[in-house]
Amino acid sequence: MITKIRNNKIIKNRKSYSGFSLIEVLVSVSLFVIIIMSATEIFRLVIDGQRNAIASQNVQESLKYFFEVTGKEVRMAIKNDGSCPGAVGEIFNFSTNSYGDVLSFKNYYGECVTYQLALDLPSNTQRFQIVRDSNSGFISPRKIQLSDLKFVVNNTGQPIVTIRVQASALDDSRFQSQLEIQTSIASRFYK
Amino acid sequence: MKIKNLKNKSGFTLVEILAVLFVVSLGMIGVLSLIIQNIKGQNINKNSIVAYQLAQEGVELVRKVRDTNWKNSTPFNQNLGEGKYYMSYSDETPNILATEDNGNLYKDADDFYVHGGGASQTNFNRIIEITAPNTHSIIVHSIVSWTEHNQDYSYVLEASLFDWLNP
Repeated sequence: MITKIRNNKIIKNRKSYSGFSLIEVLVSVSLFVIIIMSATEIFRLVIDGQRNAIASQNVQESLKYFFEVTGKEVRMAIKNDGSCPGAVGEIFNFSTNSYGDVLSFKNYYGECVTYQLALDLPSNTQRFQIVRDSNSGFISPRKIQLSDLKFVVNNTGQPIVTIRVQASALDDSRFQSQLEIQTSIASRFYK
Repeated sequence: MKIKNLKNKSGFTLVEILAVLFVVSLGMIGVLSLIIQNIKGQNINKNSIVAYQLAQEGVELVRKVRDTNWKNSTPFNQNLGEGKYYMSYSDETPNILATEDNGNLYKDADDFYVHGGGASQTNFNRIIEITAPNTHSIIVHSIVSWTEHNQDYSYVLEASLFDWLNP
């Protein structure tokens, strides 16, 4: 008797717990999936946007620095008296290498300067290289690929150099943040 | 007892859920708009760097004309009278601006920014404005303007050029 009553009780209790119907489960699961998917999609977009912004900032900073350094030195270049390679009596000398144009001149301190792109082997990046006499170094970061460096030297009247360069971040192809900058620099050499 | 307790536990009401969702989405919108703002700002920055260098080019081109005048022993402000001009990097003297469209910058075959020419148009425009406050100096305004997301931006560079060298 006792066991029977117990059994009855248990069965009754179980019956009172009603579960979810199939439709309820389907609706809630699909709602959950939609919300989670849209949330992750938004986060993915945001993260992509952030990466893009960071890449773009890096490219901008390196190009700013590039023009800061080169602008002053080019502006103050002096006439080549034969102590540097290139045409005597000219301020700016133009040539090319396999990565683009090369500009050489004698700087304010009398050093023979060459501006060019060169391949940095460890990172396999084209970086901007400055050679002063026997010293050389890169001034663009390893993570930024420079390309299409072009110089146009106009020696009619007061010499002027037009510089154009293109930079992109070495990242996923979606986050290159390519930037092209052009400017001209007139010589301040008046003799 | 246990069973009774479970049965009594009520879930959230619709209003509570809505309130929670509202607060959460408010936070999300805040964070998202901040990030979107950041990305937009980055883009404006990008164009203003290009614009700054183009404006600098405008000033340097005028400087070249002045310095060439010195070299040729002509008046320092020859070809540099008051007015509005446009000048490509390859020009020796500025061209008088007939319409604002003359200032539009294009990419030439070598990807240099130039005025006119049938190459592809960029969204930059450069106008060089010269004023002469007196006979021994000129003031150059190099104005680069561009449009982005239907909003106009401009970058103005001002330089005073004096007749300080007597060749």
